[in-house]
Amino acid sequence: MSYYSAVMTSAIVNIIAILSMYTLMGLTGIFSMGQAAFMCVGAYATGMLAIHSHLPMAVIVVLSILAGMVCALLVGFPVVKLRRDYIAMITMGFGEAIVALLNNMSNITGGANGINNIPRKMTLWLGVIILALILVITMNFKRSKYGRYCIAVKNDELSAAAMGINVARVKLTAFVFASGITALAGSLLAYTTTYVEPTAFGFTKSIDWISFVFVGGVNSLTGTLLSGMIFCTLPEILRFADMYRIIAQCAIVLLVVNFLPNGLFGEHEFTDAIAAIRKAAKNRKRGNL
Amino acid sequence: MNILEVKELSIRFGGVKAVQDVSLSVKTDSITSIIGPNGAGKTTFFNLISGVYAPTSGQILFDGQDITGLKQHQISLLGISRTFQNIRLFNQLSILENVQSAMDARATYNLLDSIMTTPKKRRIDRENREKSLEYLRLVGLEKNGQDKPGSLPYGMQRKVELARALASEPKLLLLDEPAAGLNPTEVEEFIRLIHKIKETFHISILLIEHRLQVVHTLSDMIYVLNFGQLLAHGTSREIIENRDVVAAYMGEDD
Amino acid sequence: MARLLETWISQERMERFMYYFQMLLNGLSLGAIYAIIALGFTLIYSILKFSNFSHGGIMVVCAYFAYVIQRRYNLNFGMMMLITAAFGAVLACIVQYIGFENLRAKRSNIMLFFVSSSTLGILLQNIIVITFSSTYYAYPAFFTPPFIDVNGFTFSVSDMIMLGISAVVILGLMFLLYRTRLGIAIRALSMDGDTVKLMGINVSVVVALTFMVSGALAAVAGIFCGVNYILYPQLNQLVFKGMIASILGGLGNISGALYGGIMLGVLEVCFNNAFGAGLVPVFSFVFSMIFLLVRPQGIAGKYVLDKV
Repeated sequence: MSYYSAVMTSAIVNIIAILSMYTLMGLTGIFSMGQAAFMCVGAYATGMLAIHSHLPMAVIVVLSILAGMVCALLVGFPVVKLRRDYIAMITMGFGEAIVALLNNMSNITGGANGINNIPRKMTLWLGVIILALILVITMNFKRSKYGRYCIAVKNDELSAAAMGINVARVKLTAFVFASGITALAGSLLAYTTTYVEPTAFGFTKSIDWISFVFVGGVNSLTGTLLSGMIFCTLPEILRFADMYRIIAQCAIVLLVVNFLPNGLFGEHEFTDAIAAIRKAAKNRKRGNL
Repeated sequence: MNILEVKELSIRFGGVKAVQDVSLSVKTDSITSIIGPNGAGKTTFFNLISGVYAPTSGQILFDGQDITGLKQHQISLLGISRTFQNIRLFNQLSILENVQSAMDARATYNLLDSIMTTPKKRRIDRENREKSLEYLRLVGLEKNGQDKPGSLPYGMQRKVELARALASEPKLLLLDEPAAGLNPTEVEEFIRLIHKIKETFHISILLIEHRLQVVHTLSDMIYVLNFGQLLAHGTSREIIENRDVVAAYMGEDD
Repeated sequence: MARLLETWISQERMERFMYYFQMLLNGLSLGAIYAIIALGFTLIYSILKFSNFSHGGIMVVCAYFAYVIQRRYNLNFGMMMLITAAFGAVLACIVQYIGFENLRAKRSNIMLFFVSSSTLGILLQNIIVITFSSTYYAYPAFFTPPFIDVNGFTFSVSDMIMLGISAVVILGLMFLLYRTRLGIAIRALSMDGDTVKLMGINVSVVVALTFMVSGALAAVAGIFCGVNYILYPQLNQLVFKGMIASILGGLGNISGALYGGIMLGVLEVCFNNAFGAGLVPVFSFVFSMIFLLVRPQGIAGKYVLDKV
């Protein structure tokens, strides 16, 4: 794999994870500070299955996604009825607990050394296809009743409940759905980097994702995708030192918070532009007639 | 036949008895009003019926079914819909989507239908969108469907909330001070709208208001709350002639 | 009788008692640190209703600041703490101004406060990484001898001193909140912001002062963390211990934060002795899950619904 295609592949994996954060933070307003832990679950599930079993890649990926979703169901269940702060805390606690567990169960998980020699089965094109698939799924989610549920719950829980929306269930659905995608990103990560280790999934990573989604724009999938692409590839290509990257990123987020609270794209989508152009063309045609 | 039957409902917050032994019934296909000065417990009473709070004691029967202690969304799905005193729309959804959200809660497609955009999902969503547009037409806002609620003036936001409450196709509509902040012409227009809604959908309406003038032409039955307790009830003529009510409103003159 | 007593207080019982006493003392001193983090965290939560993750950033910057001034001016522990507390107050004020002043003025959505505060936390942490690199530092040994020995059981002097200072700090905070005009204003603000504004209290000033108090608490907590562990930039993340403590105690409840902190500290020491240090986060997590299922409103708190 050439340098650039390696960079692109890992960027794609990260963008998939960021898309999962879009459903959580962008649409539903769930502030999951330990979301990276679900990536960790996916990556370890894949790592262990790839080393210890002879299952084909597709099956392993699906199992890893299921593992992430089951964990999300267990973690989410006690807290979805409570204020958002509780979800932030419990996901964070889950992140710490997973890392501690992985470090201590060294006979299965390799402890602090992690799992090595996972076969490298990810290619750039496979990544592009999966990313496209996830984009379509997330877009469809947003445009269905679930997307409207999520935004309604984010805007006003009480009012949403009065409309007959089961708020706790919506939050749990969004959480499990998103965590499945995060676990998918983890699984692909394991197949890309060929090793997994427990320290790579700290809360800084989760916060990173949150800020990308946020900078992209409120409810804007296009914005999330673009900011993910920029933030995941530019620093690699420009070879920024990691700590300066973080400082710059923080500064951008603070500027956006204070001066552009709707993010770069606001609530707009790429498809809105297409619709507008079509409408304009139609009007022009009508004018000619 | 009573659509709503409330029996000796009470709730206490700490030591404060916000609502105390209130019994009330709403006849099917009628407009019933609750009036009373600010702080009389009217909104708390609505919150009890719609399931925001669980009552300390008492019973709520809706359509013959005991709904005491059910959750908000369950009560909504059974057929009680409400508006809020301080308008609570979803700011990041368009006006049409706001109305549609009430129908979404009753839509029958599942998550898999959603992410694959199956024909079933498309059909239901299309139908609901058209119906939502109908509700917006009813309140005269069909042209604003794509805007955000924040772009509308206050009075029109109230109408959006009304359309949203209607979209859930309730049997009983709870309106919390729907005429608050409206000028006299708007109030008249609003009264016409309520009559129209009642005739079109054949639903029962329970509404809160603190001005007697607004409700007396509108209501079949009026209940008066004061300090969390029921002061009087009767037809609007009986209420106007009731000395206790006059005293509660005007202060004791004699 | 005396004989009976003598056999009852056998060597074995004595040892077991000392063992548990030592554990309790360890737990209390750890709990006191958590309580101080939780108090600073809760103060902000109670007035602005959001989880202030930048609290951890302030803690870590203060811990390093204390290290630097101590090295340069060879201060004793008390002076170091006082100066750092003042520094923490100023820093928190600056953080408030950059991160939240504008959001408050615009009455922004709670999500923006979340994003802003966690970003500031990361930012402060990384300023430390850039200035000091990721290597570990340690305070000089302030307390000699570091341990005292009772019957073969060692008690850490620093633990006991920190426990004492924590008690003083907590009493001071309670005095501030319940006996001074600022405290009344803070508590009024935590109940109803709009009414406070109508009553002619300058909300911005009260918010700034509350941040200063919480910054001073962050400074104390930061130093304690530095003494208890070592200095490293990720000390920032200990803010989550404060968050867990304040949630267990009852979110937004001052005395709840105190109980929650102490409970968490004692529990962690118990888990540590029972299952080993590595698994403490696992058991803390499982415990908090079960706790939230059983009593979501926390020890002291009432779970407040949105106003209709």
